[in-house]
Amino acid sequence: MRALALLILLGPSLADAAPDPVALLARFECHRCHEGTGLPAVPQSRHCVRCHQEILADRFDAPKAVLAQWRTNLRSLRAVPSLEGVGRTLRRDWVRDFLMSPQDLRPHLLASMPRLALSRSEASALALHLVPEQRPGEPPNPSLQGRGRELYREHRCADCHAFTGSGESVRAESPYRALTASGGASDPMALAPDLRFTRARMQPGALIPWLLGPSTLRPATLMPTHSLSKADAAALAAFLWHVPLEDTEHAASMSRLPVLERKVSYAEVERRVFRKVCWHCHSSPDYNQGDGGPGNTGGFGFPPRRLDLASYEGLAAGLIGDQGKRESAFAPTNEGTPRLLAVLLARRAEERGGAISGVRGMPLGLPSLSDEEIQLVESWIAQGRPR
Amino acid sequence: MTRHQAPLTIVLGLAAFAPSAAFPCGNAVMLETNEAAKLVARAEADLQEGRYQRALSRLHHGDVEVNSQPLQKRIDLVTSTAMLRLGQVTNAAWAFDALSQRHPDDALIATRLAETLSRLGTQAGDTKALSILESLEKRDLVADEHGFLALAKLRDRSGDTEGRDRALTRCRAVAKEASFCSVETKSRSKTKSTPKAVRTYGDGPTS
Repeated sequence: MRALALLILLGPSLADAAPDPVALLARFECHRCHEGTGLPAVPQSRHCVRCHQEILADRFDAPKAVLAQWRTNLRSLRAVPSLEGVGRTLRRDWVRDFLMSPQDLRPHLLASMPRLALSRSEASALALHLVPEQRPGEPPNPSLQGRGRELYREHRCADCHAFTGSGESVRAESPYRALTASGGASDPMALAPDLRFTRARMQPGALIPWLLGPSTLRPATLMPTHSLSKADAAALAAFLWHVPLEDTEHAASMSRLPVLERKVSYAEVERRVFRKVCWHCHSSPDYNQGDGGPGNTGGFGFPPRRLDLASYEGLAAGLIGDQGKRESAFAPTNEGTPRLLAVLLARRAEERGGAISGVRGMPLGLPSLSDEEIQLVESWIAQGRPR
Repeated sequence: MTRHQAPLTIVLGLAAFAPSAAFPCGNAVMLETNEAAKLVARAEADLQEGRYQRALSRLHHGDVEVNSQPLQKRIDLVTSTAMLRLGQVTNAAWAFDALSQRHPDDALIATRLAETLSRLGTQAGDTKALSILESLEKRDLVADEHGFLALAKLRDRSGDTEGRDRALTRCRAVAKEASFCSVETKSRSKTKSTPKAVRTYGDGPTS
């Protein structure tokens, strides 16, 4: 109340002030996944990627048999790009739009940037902070793209990169495939973006310098420096920038299977969906010193929803809704779809580039559930949520 | 800790749960690596399987250090529920009342409290239990079949046969065994619940 009164007294100039980007980085806890945020380091136990890398490297403090089991299951957040130097290569507008509606840029990573709860002005403030200046420059000369394709093949870019719609695909015999499969932390393939997005993401004037010396622009990059002449870099840039791209098929299914006739128990849904995917973020805070993950006690800018998907009773006890009151996880949305189902369906829409107002797709920053998994959840709900 | 939990030999220590040990995917980690969490989880599994005395015994005789307040809530919940299922209704009512005051927004504790009150055999207990459960039912937050059965019995006692049958239908839909959901009464209707393989969600909250 006092803050509101102060705001009124100070007038619109302060009220309209752009959000503080450093405070936003802290609020969204970008440093729990990314290096290079400029924020103080978080303890390893709160750093998703470092924690996962410790498990993969067999250094995590847990029994050997447990670690072996985790390593089998651990497929997400094994590597995440550093934010250091992104301003030297990326377009500011693209960063803003990406924050608002993230796309899956990196086909070799399971997880992608989550759709955070941020406003357009907050996304703009963060984009301005990350990209304070844009390098002036013209797009590459399109007439060089034929030579560029030859260079693309000569330099084996497809050992790491997908280039969807260009007719160039990741080489099946890439020497990095095994490293990626085992989750190696210094694997250049894991973070390699689909080059389809290059022309949208990169500042036109940054592409040739990037090809000539990636680590001079982004010190933490795993992109190797190739011995390219300036002319070759210009040709390769032309290929990346101008080669015609075919429309892509969206991997995310939009079909919806009929509800199952057979009985579906909670035990089955828990085993195949909740415990496999959901409970890492929506867990019981009781077991973890009060920290139930971002989907329960809050985190990554999300308020505490108090949703516990670790047990039948936890799920039945609902979540804290937008009005601050406890609501059922099965309450119908405006379309009449139970909320739990609606968020699973919304994730598919997000993967296709659309966002559904008022519904955040789940699982956050991970691929949508399969048709069969969604069918299972829907059938269980339709059957009255039996144990 | 309530006086009923005083015999618990679980020692409140400082080392087992340092705050820095919080993991984002906490349950996945803690339930594999922390002995106190594992013990409580095993007691909860006993409770689910109807081994109430064993659940209590585990918590009373577990030689594990616990210094986590949230975990203590879970221990209290297991203990109180086991007492309730073993027929120690007065003690359970006292324990659940204390728990619900500490956690007023917890629908599971509210369900258990109401279930306990409904078994006290008092008019005041019935009235309060009915009020709690009907509020939860309206919001589709009744935690489990025990809550629905308690609601059915309360409504039966108050002559609300339609409401009783509605609660029994939900109870049968939720329970592992439909036979769990029975109310001894002469006016009992023949309502049965069968799984519906249609895209409707009509077995949800009372609307």
